[in-house]
Amino acid sequence: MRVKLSALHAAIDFDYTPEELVTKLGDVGIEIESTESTAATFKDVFVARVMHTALHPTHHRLQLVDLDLGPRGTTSVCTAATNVREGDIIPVVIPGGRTADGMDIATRMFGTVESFGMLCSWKELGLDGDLLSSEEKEGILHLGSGAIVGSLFEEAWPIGDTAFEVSVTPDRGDALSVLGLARWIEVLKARDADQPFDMGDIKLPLPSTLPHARNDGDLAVTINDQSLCSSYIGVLVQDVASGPSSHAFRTQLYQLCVRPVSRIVDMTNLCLKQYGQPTHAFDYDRLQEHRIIVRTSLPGETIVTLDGVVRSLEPGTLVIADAAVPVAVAGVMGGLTSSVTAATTRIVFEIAHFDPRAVAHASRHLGIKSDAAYLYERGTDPGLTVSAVPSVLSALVREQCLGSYVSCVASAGIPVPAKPPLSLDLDRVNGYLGSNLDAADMQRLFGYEGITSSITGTTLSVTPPSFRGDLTSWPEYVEEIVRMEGYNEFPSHTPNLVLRRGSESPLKALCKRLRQILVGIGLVESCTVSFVRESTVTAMGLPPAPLLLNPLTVDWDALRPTMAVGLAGAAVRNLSRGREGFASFEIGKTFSVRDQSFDEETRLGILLTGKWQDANWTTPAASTSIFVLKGIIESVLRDLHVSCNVVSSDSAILETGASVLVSSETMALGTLGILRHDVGALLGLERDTFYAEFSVDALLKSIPAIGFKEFSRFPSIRRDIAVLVDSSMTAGQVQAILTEHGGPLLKKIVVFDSFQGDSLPTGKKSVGFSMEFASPDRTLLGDEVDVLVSSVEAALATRVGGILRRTRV
Amino acid sequence: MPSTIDEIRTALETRLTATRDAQDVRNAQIEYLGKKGTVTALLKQISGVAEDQRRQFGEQVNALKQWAAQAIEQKLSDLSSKAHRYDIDFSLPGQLMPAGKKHILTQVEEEVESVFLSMGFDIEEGPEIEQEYYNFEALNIPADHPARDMQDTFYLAPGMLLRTHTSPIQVRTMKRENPPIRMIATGRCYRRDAIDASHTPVFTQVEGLVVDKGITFADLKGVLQEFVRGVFGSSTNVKLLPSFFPFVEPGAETAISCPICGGKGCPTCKNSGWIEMGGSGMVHQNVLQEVGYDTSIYQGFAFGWGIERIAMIKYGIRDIRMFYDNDLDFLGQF
Repeated sequence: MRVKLSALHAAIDFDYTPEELVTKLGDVGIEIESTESTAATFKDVFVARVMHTALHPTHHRLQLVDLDLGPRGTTSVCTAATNVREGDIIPVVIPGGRTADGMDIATRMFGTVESFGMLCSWKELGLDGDLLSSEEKEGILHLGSGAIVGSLFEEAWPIGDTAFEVSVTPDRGDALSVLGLARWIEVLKARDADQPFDMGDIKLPLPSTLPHARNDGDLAVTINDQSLCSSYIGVLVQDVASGPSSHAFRTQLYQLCVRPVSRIVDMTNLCLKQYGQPTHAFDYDRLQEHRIIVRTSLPGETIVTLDGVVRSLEPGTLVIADAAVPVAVAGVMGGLTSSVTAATTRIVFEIAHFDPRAVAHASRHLGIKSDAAYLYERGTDPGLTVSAVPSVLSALVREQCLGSYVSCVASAGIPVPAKPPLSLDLDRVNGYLGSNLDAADMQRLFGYEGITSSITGTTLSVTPPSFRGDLTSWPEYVEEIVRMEGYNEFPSHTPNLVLRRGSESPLKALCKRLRQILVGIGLVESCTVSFVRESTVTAMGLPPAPLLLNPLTVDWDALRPTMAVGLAGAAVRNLSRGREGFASFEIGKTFSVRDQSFDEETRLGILLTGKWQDANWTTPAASTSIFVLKGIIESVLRDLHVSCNVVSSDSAILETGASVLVSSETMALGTLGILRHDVGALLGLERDTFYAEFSVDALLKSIPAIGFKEFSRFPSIRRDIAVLVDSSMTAGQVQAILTEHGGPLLKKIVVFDSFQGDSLPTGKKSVGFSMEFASPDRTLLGDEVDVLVSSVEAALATRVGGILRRTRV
Repeated sequence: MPSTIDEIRTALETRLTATRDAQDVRNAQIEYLGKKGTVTALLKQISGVAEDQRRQFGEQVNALKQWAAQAIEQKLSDLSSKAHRYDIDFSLPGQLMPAGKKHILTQVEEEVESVFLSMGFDIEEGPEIEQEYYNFEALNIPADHPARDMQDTFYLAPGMLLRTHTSPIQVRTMKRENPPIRMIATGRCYRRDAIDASHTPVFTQVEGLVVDKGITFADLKGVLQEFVRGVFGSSTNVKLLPSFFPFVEPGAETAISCPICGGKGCPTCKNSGWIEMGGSGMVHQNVLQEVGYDTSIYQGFAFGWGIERIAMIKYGIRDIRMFYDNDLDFLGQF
């Protein structure tokens, strides 16, 4: 909410500087998000009345304007403006003066005619365009009747001021008006002076009785359910003559940060901004039987709201109806058929208090956000305001000459009965706050806010003022004690808690461990958003992803079913910045949906592409490859003590023949392979990309308990062999033969070489194995190892082909 | 392998000159003078050499052996006694190692978690796709309450949404366990906020909850103080300001003394010396009653802060979007 310092000063006297006010209001929970001070930066601008206009003798696009400057005499200027007529009250800057945008004004010749100054638009005056009507912003600014001719413009218009942007939490509906802020300033003053809150300090008119209240049959108001509408007052105005508001009213609206529209709308906006009380104007003659009935809607009822939309009303919606149909959604928006038009001669202003929940429900159900609904759902004052605003409005009607006749027609229920007092236990309050306040302290603190209280032993009986609808339970009063004493006046200590260790879930611990392992290997962790585009997921050939009903953008309309999309996006971003590669992982949730049931799983995604380490003088650049990726996975699994099987498998997003499924003894863990090139292109990656995705939940279930295993403390003996086999044979198949025939002393096998072509026969390849033999209880002899190797060689010869080489190491 | 006497001598000489490693010298000793060594092999060849050349060859081989033995001994003695002067250009960079890095959000999250683990808090988790009940109703945010506007929500189906905060984990934990409760929850949350320098639709929260007999507002301040000092340093102070969150009463916005300027005033704290970090307060009676706790016996406090916000303040990061861009120039800085 935006409001100006001058409007607050008009409502209450106070000495705080704008900076002090910001701090002090913040200390009681009303945040001023920003302040903006304005001052007159123009010079010698006066209010003038147009006496006469004529066309320039030679320049036909110019007008000669004779001006009356009151006590300062008369003058004349040339202007290109087209909106200047005889009798208009307008601002003029005279020679020697300056406009707000810094233009110095001097006498100037236009052809043969001398111009003694310049007429001003809002821009030359540095006015806030947001607070001006579209008419006011067109051409020369017109001041309404009532501006004093000959006066300085800064005396006629509130230029020097400070605007505050007030941010109010949902429970502070009572602060959403000038009156509300003035009350909080009164609270601050009361606390500073250690005096009780005094509503009498508020300078805004707050009459507590209805003016000219009568019910003579011109208008009948009925409330069907008083729990939804505690009071309803209709203010009837006849012989309505609308038009723009007067100059004085206009400048008041400027201080209130209200943009003018028309006399009627300006009046309702003033009540809203000044008092926090929404009002609405009906065309009296369009209300059937001149009746107003506050009731809930019936099945099948509809309404065309002011915005022209036909809306079907959920049965039970709180509405204002005439004798036949709903004419407004209570507190939300008026109906079109009962709205004020140019032809309207009689008006009913509505001033009411509606149940916040009823308004909130209707507003959300219909999808209408209005200023009135915003206020009502945060709670308006059912007491003083409802009775004061009709009087204020009636006075405005007279001052602004809106109509000739005023009467107030009140429903039952005025004045609204006060809430019953609430009991507050002293020990409970202190036990809640860790404080040591006595009853008198609390009474004093409540007094600053206008909460009345009486003490009986260790109990306080408290009653809130009618504008504090937020105070309904004892902890809310505790908050008021804290607010008034000061949040930082309370003690701080660490709780007396039983000594114990904090724990985290095994899944969480595993995620931490995985990150540690992968970072140790040299991968960078990414965090990408969990959203993807549905069409991308479909094009990748993945099952449907959970869709958002209300996505922020079409690019993020689904939840990720894979980590690949986000990681690819991170890769693309880095590659586009000239990097030659990207090697990263992410651990997070992936999502799936089946039969309207959603599921989420913690997964690890690893993506490698291009170089993952730059070259320098010691080392060539390290490129990623499918075996770099496989090596990473093997390292992770080895670290976790998970033994695994790797089998070829098809995957939606990986290339055929370049994709494997990795499983533990009991379950599938994940896949790894080369990212399908069409999928890569879809994600913006054009080079070879290697991708693995693993279920962290599955990894967790596969981690075995570990214990000590005896190991050989004697030197080991190594023998290398190279085996010539058919190209179709896998290294794993050959290694299995080595394992099978190497005997229990064969401790370790390493593949040190694999190649084909060159000197080798077509259709053959060479695989080199390094075998390490060791005994747990003695030093092996070379000769006995040679015997073992011979038996391996014999098995290889009969089962797969010949030995190419054998090396003793 | 060198085969002639001269070649052998030259090779060994070169090797001994080059090395600074005693183990390498010992290896050379074995390779040349050991049982299967090169020089030993030559010695064995002497008997097979033609008689007219045997004597000369024998003398040459024995001279080689003596020279080799002496050169090796001399080298070993040099290495053990003499401080050799190296001449290495240390302006050359070392061999590059792959440089892995945890994401800054992970680093901060783990730091926060370790502070609370050390104070005996459990770390709880919950689903990111959440029921409306746990996210709102159970937290005293009924349908149609204006507080729902504070958290613009992504929906997946009627009643199913992406959690807007980690607070549903409070409810799930309290429904599962009886007091005393001492927990934090960290995790990803979602709000339908337009993206700008301080908003992303995905963000990370840390949530804390303590419920027991006699837990007070003063305890809240004390625990927040410990938390803040654990993360931002031991001279950091905490200030509470009145605010509103539907699931706490009294509710407070928590500010910390600006860790960048030490509270003197700087652009980060907008010259106020204080930086708002997140919400906190005493758990609302309605929330405790909803999970079935007896509010005449138990009371507690809760707080919820943004991990991104903590990281931004701690490291002076000005744009929240950077966390999710994953630019290596950004990630590599922390």
